[in-house]
Amino acid sequence: MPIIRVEKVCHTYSPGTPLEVAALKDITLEVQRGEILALAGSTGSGKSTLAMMLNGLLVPTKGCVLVNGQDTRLKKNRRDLWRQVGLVFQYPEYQFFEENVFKEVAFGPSNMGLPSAEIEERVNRSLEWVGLDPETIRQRSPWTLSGGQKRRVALASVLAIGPNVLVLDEPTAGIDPAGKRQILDLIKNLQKKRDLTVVLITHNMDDIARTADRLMVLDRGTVFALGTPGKIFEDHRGLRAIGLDIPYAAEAKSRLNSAGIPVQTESLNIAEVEKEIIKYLRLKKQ
Amino acid sequence: MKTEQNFISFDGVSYFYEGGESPAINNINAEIRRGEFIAVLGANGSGKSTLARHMNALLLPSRGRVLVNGMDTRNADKTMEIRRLVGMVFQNPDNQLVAALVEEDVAFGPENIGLEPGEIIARVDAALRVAGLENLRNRPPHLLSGGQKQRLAIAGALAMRPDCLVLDEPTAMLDPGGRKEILSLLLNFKKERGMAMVFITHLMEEALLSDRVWVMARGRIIADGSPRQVFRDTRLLDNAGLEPTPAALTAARLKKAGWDLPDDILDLDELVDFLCRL
Amino acid sequence: MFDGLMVGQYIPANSPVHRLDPRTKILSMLLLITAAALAKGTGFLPVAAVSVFALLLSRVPFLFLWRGFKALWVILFITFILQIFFTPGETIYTAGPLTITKEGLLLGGQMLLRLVLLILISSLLTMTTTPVGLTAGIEHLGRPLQRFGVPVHEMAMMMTIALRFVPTLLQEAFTVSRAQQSRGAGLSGVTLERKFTALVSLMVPVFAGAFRRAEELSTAMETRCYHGGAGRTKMKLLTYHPGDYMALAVSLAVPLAVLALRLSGSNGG
Repeated sequence: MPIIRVEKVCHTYSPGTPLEVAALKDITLEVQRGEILALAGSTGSGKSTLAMMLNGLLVPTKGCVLVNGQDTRLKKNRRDLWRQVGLVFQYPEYQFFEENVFKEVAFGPSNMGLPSAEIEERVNRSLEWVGLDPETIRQRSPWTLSGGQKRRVALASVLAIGPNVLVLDEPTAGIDPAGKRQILDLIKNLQKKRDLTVVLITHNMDDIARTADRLMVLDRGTVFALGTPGKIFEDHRGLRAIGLDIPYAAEAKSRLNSAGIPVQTESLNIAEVEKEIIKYLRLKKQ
Repeated sequence: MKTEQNFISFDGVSYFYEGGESPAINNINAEIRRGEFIAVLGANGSGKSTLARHMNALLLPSRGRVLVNGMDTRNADKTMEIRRLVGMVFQNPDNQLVAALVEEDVAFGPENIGLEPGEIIARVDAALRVAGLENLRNRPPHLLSGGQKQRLAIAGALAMRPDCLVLDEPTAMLDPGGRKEILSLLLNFKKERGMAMVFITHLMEEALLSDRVWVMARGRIIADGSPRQVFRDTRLLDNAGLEPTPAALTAARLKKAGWDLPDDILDLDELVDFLCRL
Repeated sequence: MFDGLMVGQYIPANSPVHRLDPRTKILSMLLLITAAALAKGTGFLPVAAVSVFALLLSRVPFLFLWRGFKALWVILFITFILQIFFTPGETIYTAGPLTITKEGLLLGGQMLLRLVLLILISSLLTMTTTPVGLTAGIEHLGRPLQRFGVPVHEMAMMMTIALRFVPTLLQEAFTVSRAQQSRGAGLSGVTLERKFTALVSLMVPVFAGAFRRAEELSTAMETRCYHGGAGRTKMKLLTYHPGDYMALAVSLAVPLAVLALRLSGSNGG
């Protein structure tokens, strides 16, 4: 059974007014347990709206969302959904409100009504998971941290709730290249070691190439493509037309192929593409 | 005549933020010539924004001096003139738009310098046309896309008819589509010449558009030259905490594997070209 | 995305009311509101007639107005009820300690009508005048006050910026609140203390954001040569057209008519 089922979902903002916007039109999607699913699309594609449906913040105007088989249209199902599906918003560090890291991360677990020893343990554990040392960081003000550290604290504050599914909206936005890679590696690690299902919302195609098992591309509220990243990234023209990029490895592959340098790999890992180049160079030399 | 050509010059400029022990920029000596397109590259905290803010007297040097069109930025009487000559666009598209309507926002600068209404309208029309926003002139800014907001910020700067446009990471918060909108606009300006541009970014690919690149690290300009000259020096980039372009990295890895590649491959076109010519 | 419309939000259209000079509309609103405040009995007729006529002329869909009323109906209802029950006079109906009087019913009805007209008239102004026009109008009309040391330009600038940033900040507050809900906020209890804590945790990031924006905005304004009102010009000059004189004349006639009706004693009550 998929962990999340999105069934024929439509969503309209401000219905019945001249400002009516159809944000999602007939979206069907299954998120499989343990996978990293990427949701891509440019601004206004509806990807953030869809994200908020996964943990019941929004209920679709048509269709339904089932999390672990439970329909989010029912209020009683929605009430505890936040414990199962953790949602990390864009620029989460702008949402900090506690005076120190400990309190910030403890916010979720305290709302679960856990005993303080358990809260303590969860805070320490989740800080460790995101690669921060609980002892040195717990008393610091979250505002004084570096960009990458802030992002990690925000991530820890959701992990501390102990969700099965982690939904991340642009987790690497505004972080420098080195920090970006670390965050992505972290996400992959969590998925593998902590048995998490990850939904990664982004318009950064290189991030997708690096992490995602499957990809859904949205364009103005409709499904543009759904499948493996390798397959979807073959449609350069289509993706560009809807305001998206092609990851570097995919672009390199196709440029090389059309220049007569055969690159026969399905992988979006640039190292694989480079191996193929070397193969070609060897052949050339003989 | 040589100094005539220099539109902005930095003379031994250092700047200390209040309470800061080390200078945010340290002994900068540099010139920006008329009509030139300079990209300023650097990691976070390298001093590139501080440097930019000296170009229109938002910050005044703690040591040394900055001349804009021959005017010392410390001369308070010249501040308005300097800001008219040097327009600036910032990173966050939301936080630099003042008015509740697109056209009113473009008019904000010209209104501040007391132009006649007829002249303001002419400038607003021209700036909106250049930025491709004519159809949106009566929209409220908060309903625009990121790319449109940023083009609006550029239009607002253009309405002042500046001689130099400073852009402080204007693409950092945009999606790929928005980024392309801005870059193609900058390319148009470059073709037309006339207006100097200082484009601050941390992306090598974007800096490739420029005539000249400054690389900043720890408050200093550690390299100044054409993109090609500067980017082939991987040690320098590493030292500045910058990441070479993906194609340059591929070329470097192939070289490491024992293949003979030139060290100035910067993008995929060049890489593929070279491999084909073998 | 921020879902919903604000009461009295500007609704673009090309109607005769939209085209009026903002100063005309501000002055007319003041005149009509005065008239509504003074009106009694038949005196409401000219006010209502002119307001409804203006509404029809403005081509503002009724739906928008309806939303405005929907947001305020509690206040309207309470006012009405209080008037009905707490005005002494001829008893019509008694229910336990509460009595409805004829006078109460009449007064309540008038109060209700007055409030409805107030909302209609003021919404009409804001729905047909761009925030920018409104600000410019207030700045112009306020100019004489500058002589008495009232910072008219500064106030107008504050209004402009508020108008520009209110939607942005609302959206931000919305996002923050959703982010906190995702971490279980506001779900585990409804005590007053909990609610207060929830409010604080919402306000901290929203205010921090507002300050960050304010700082960046002031830099951006300086960059664009802003240095206060001195020597500043305007792109759009305000000019009165024949339609403005007509509108002003009609608006002036309304409170005069109301006064005349009151003085002539035909109070209808």
